[in-house]
Amino acid sequence: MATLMQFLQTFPQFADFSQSELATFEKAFRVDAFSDGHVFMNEGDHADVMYLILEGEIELRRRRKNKAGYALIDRKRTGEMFGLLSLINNEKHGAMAVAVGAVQVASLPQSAFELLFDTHAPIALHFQRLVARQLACDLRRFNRALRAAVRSNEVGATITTFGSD
Amino acid sequence: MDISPDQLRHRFPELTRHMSRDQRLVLIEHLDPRTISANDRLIQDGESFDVMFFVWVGRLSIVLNFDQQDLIVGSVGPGAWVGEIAVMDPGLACATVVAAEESVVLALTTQAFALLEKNHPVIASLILQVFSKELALRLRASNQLLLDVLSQDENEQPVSLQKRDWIKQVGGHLTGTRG
Repeated sequence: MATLMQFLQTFPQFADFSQSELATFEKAFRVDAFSDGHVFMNEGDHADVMYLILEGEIELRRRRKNKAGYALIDRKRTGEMFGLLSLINNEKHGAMAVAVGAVQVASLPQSAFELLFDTHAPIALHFQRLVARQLACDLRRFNRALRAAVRSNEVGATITTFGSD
Repeated sequence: MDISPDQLRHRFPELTRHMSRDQRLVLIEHLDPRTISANDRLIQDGESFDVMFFVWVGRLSIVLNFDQQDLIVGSVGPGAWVGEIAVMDPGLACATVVAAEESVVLALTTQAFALLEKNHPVIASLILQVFSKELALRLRASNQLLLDVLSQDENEQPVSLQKRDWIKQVGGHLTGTRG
């Protein structure tokens, strides 16, 4: 199994991290492998860890409103993080995270996350920027999906009848 | 236009909560006050942008274009900000921002923020924390709204909301309308 350092060195978003910063990450994160179907977190669970996907893919699913079953709301792939939202705002998880195929992840417990997020050492700022970038990226993607969804259904079609305020 | 650290704290308490007076002074030095006329366009939907705006005086409208028709989905006033995603991850704007009336905004460019990161990392860190927490809330709300859309049957009206309110709610979350 490759070391966390070896994985991080291949991820573009870690390209500007120094060797000593990567070494700090290596100490803070724990690397584990999971098989297909493993549930990392359930909707409503208390948030106590975030994950960085080293290899593989996970799905984020949420219970459907007024319907049985779950809706797929996002996929996270190699190099992406999940479990962030709850840790940032200290809330319960808003989605279930499930492994799709074999997955290798690095996990960061809440205490280490908060230390990296709330302190102001250079590595903390670096980590915050990484988190901010992923949040911004995710938000852009979700907003595009929402706009497409609104455009494509009946409700979206009614927008033209309202016009500007 | 001169802005004092105390004025900045009173106008943007959430942003400056953990900043000392000196840190607020440094932040002010990196902000560019601009007076804008009513109907001036600050950010254009779909175009790249590299600046965010803190509203000092006045009001900005957030506009989305659907099917060649503009829909005002919200507005922001003093103490709010727009375009922070540019500072976090420069890219294309997801809404148009127009001055609803003559306004004064404090512009923070990505270059100015990069200088803050380089020379005043603690201040940059405090700003990123506030923005990240807010973006996390918006992302969660967007998740929920998307789920609402996906859960609808064809031609089904959103539960418990009038169409117009719902569209504005979607638009508000698309743009993170505040204030």
